[in-house]
Amino acid sequence: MIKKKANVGMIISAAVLIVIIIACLMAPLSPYDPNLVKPLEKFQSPSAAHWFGTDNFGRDVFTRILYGGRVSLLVGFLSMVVSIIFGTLYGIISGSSGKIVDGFMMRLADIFMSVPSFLIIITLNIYLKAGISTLVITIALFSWMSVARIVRAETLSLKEREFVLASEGLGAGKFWIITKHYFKNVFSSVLVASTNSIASAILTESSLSYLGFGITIPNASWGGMLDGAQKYIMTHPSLAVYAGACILITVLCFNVLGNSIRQSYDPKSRR
Amino acid sequence: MSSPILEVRNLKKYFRLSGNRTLKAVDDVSFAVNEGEILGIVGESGCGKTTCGRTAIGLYSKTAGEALFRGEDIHKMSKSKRKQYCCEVQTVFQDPYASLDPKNKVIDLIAEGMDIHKFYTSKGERREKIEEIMSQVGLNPSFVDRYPFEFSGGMRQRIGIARALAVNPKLILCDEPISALDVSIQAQIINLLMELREKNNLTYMIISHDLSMVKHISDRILVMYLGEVVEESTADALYENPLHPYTQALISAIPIPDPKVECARKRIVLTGQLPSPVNPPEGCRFAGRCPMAEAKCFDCKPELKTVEDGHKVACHKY
Repeated sequence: MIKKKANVGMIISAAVLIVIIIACLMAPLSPYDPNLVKPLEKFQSPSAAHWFGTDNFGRDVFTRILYGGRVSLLVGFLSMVVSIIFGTLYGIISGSSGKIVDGFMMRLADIFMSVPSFLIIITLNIYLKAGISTLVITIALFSWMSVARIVRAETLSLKEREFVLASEGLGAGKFWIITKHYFKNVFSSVLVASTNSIASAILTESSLSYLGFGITIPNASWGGMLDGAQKYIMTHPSLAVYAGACILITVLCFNVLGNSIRQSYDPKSRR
Repeated sequence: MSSPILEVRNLKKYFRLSGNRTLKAVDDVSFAVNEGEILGIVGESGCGKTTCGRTAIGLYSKTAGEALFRGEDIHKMSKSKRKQYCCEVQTVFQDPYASLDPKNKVIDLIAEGMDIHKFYTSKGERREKIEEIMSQVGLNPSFVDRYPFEFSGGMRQRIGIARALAVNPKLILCDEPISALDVSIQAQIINLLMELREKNNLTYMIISHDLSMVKHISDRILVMYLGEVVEESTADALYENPLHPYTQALISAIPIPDPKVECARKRIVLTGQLPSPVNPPEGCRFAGRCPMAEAKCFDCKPELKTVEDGHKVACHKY
């Protein structure tokens, strides 16, 4: 067993993420309405009253960033949860089944991996009712495969380990071995996969909102704000910077966090 | 000796390999384990000892033949019978690192069998029973909440033994129980196994390549070569009067802790290597390495026949 040792990257990225999450949760404390149009106050520069200035409708950009962050993080988190749960179950069932079932399940996962998922997500979002639940389901629908693959590979190697044989010798059934041995032993890789899954879900959500298929305007989301800022990129480039930087920092932090967790579990990468 | 607790008849275990080849790990093996005795199975690496033991107690599915536990075929038991049977026959594995789930605490590892068969009514009773078993195998009961990585090899092997004991088995298959341990710990584990046998009336099947250990503790010994039993005998007879040329070679390889004797005695040194079990030689499987092989040995397969009382050998010389 390897001791779980925190490193600098893990601490910094976790701290930044916690700050972002708390700030987004506190969004209603802002004195401004994120969607209220005030034409007289448009394009203000950053000031004590408006920390990030105001946009083309005179809305407070900082407040909108916070509300948008709620959407991005919520969609990222929920679709991660859905895809991780489904992917883990799928991978364990596939790995612990016989050759035929395993082959069929993995080919099915390959099919899901080979379709251009983004186009299908866009199409689905056009036909389904727009909203957070639709986003979560469509994003999760195309992101469980990598988790399933990782979990299946781990399950296959666990299957051959002697403690599983010992468990069978004690009279354990398949369900027992799955819940008592497989789940516990794939946990660390699933944890790493989940941070990466959040990061990619946030990116997908932002891209969708940027293209106008995600959260409907006037509600704020980071991708949608980028879209709105695009028209004024020559005159007021700072508008795009705030939302863009938020996406960048959040995704980066999740990826660094995942990488650090993986390193702390991996004996080979420790000095 | 009393009646057999486990009887194996013409057991075969083949593994399918790619390209339509089969690996004959265990080929037509018959033997019996009597109630209360210690049966040793010896042979060199890759001769099918472990597979033979595991197939005989039903951990692996068989290819042909039958294995009877108290007269009932293990491989044909109904689900509920099988569950009951699992409590009576247990295994201690060779590698105490691979055979304990690293993510479980000691208490959960040892209690696994008790959890499956619901041997207790309350959490407190479970803990009490585990602590009792731990002190029986020489583990400090205050270690219940530790993880296996905190223990040394010998201690882990004790955990493995405790796990097997927790379901009150009658027969324990010890699959090279000491070969992964330090020499100083080996004796401790063997003594522990002997002690537990006294206390719990256990029957052991001990698989090993450590001939001196097997000689020391076994009542009867099977010598295996390339998936087959070549000699079966009581321990004393086997060491005093080994019949099969392979057994003779094995026994002459046991070092004697006396330089004078060691220098004076003759060693039978085998040449060549163990043939592949994918493509075993026709006739006697040992013929290619046998110092006494004749033309007949290469063509005709010797049967396992009784030479003296309780002493069987598969060789054309007898």
